[in-house]
Amino acid sequence: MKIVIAHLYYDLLNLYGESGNVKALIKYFENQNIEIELKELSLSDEFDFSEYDLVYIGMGTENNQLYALEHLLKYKKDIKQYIQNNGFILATGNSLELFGKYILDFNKDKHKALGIFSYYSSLISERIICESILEDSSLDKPIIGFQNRGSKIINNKNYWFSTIKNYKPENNTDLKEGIRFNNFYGTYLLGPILARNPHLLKILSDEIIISKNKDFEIKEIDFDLEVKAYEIDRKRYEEK
Amino acid sequence: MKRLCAIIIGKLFVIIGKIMHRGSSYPGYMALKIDKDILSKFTLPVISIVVTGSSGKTSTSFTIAHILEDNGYSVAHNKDGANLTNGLATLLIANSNLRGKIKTDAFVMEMDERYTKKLLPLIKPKYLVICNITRDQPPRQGHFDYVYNIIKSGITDDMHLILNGDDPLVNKFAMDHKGKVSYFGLCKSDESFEKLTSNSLDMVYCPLCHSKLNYDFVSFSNVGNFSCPNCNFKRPNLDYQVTAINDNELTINDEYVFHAKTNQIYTFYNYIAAYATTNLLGIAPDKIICSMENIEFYEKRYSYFKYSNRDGYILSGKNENAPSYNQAMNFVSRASEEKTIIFGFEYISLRYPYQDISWLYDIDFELLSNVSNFICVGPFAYDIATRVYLSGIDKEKIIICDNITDVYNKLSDSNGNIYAILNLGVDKKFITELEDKNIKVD
Repeated sequence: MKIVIAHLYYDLLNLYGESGNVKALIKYFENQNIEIELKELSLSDEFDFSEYDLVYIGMGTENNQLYALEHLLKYKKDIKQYIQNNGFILATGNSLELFGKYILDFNKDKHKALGIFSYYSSLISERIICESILEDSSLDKPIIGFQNRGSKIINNKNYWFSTIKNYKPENNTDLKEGIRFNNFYGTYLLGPILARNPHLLKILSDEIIISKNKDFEIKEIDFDLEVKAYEIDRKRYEEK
Repeated sequence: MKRLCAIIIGKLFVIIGKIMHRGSSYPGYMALKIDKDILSKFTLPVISIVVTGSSGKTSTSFTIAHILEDNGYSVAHNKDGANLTNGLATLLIANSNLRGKIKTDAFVMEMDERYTKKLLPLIKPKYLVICNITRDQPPRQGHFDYVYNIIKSGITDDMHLILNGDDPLVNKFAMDHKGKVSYFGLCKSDESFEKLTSNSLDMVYCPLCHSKLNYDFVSFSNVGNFSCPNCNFKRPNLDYQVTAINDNELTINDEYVFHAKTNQIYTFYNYIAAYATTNLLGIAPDKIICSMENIEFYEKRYSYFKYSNRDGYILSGKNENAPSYNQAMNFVSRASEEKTIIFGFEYISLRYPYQDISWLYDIDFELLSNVSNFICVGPFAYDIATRVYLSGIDKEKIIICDNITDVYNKLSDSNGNIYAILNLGVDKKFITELEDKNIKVD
């Protein structure tokens, strides 16, 4: 078996250590003795969504987000089809805004986005900066992470997480977070969330493996370091 | 009247601060309480310089102030690094007469980049030096475009911009600036890179046509001799350039030879920025060089120690600033021998309560080779360990330590030369620990 990971706009939507997600995936698949091909793709490349088993896309500045959008719009139909066919996408930080109806910029100008989901995004006057603990009822443990953004989505109908604990009270207004639809996973958490949440890494990776070969014998991986880091960080967040 | 009152009270606190030996921005804080508009009520001298950017502003402003003083100018300068609103107010009050006129020949201020939008229009310096913009403390600084926009909105056309010509993002400041612009930069050297070394860099695309920039060489991060393959956006002609680098011997504009106290590339930018600024003020090259050579400020690249028969190096980084740690990574990556790495910090930031560790993934641990042990220290040791494991180091080689004493005790079980890469502060603790064990550090 070979798994192809496409890291879209790896050198453009790369604000906060997002490459850690790809590193975590590769290590997990390697430990399962699965061959990996990583495609690092950006503005000068052609995309072929029929080749990818997982698409990862991270957070960028508002400018870079719009550069990426302009390029990505060429693949609007392909992406829609990819998601409908249960292709895997993980989108962190403001990259999830690309999949909505439109993005409002600094001048309130509308930038047409991919239109896969019904939400749109808008800039906010004060950046949201907080540590978050997110709960997904299908996971045995919550997801921990960090948010640092200057925009929000409006009219989200496909929440991923049911509750969110933000450690900055004034921002504690959105009590749900993320996008989950078919195999699309989107969250405003940014940076290396798969490296920091080994249980999420396992579930996502195993689903990808099973989607390729349902008889594959998945080995239990020892996440000793990762779990310790997770437990300590979670406690640190909870004690605040 | 309000101004007078604010200045008098401020000066009183400056004197109290001096008696108590406490440099702080408290006098400015008090003066602003009395007159919130006080900052715009001062008259700066003809020579007024603000230095800003992500890194290098402290060294650059210090060097500029030193050159000026060495050449007979009296200088008002925030040496203590108080670079926010209260710090500026304190600096102004301490150096002004009661009418708000700055008494020194020159005013030199290092200014926090996030405060430029608010403070630059209030004091209107004649010269603005911008060192670079790189990823740094995201919870505070947001991101590089955000920082760019803040600085941009503080700039007016009557300012003479002195820009790092090697930083593509900093060059954007010149695009619609109608006032004067001067550029400084470096040439290629043994320590520069052929191409970009990381995927986690700030602007590497042309701001005009969105093509990926080409590099003739890279000094660090995305700073180097860049050009757009598709349009005219490229490194400008440099007015002040280090044209030859031979270890610490720098030639400026093909003509003037200068011996720097350091041999780290990023520090050369600070020197050439200071050279550019003071030369624009009319100080002759040989005088500037003479002053830069007698400066006593720059820190060494590393501290050295010997542990049994092993060489030990202590390097430091700044948390949430991957470029600063990557300087250390580049140094260690040049050593091919078997080695033990020590890496750690006690807290992420003292400035805010957030505990984000994303920046660890922007540090190029992948550059390290022949690592026999990797010692992770501090309350974030497991986060570091996870990061290092994902860079390709086997779990058996990773050692977790709670504190610095623990690290010292583990050294006897490790192999090879020792490279300790520690956050500012922790490096000092490690040195103290070694000295307690009668190991000499220099």
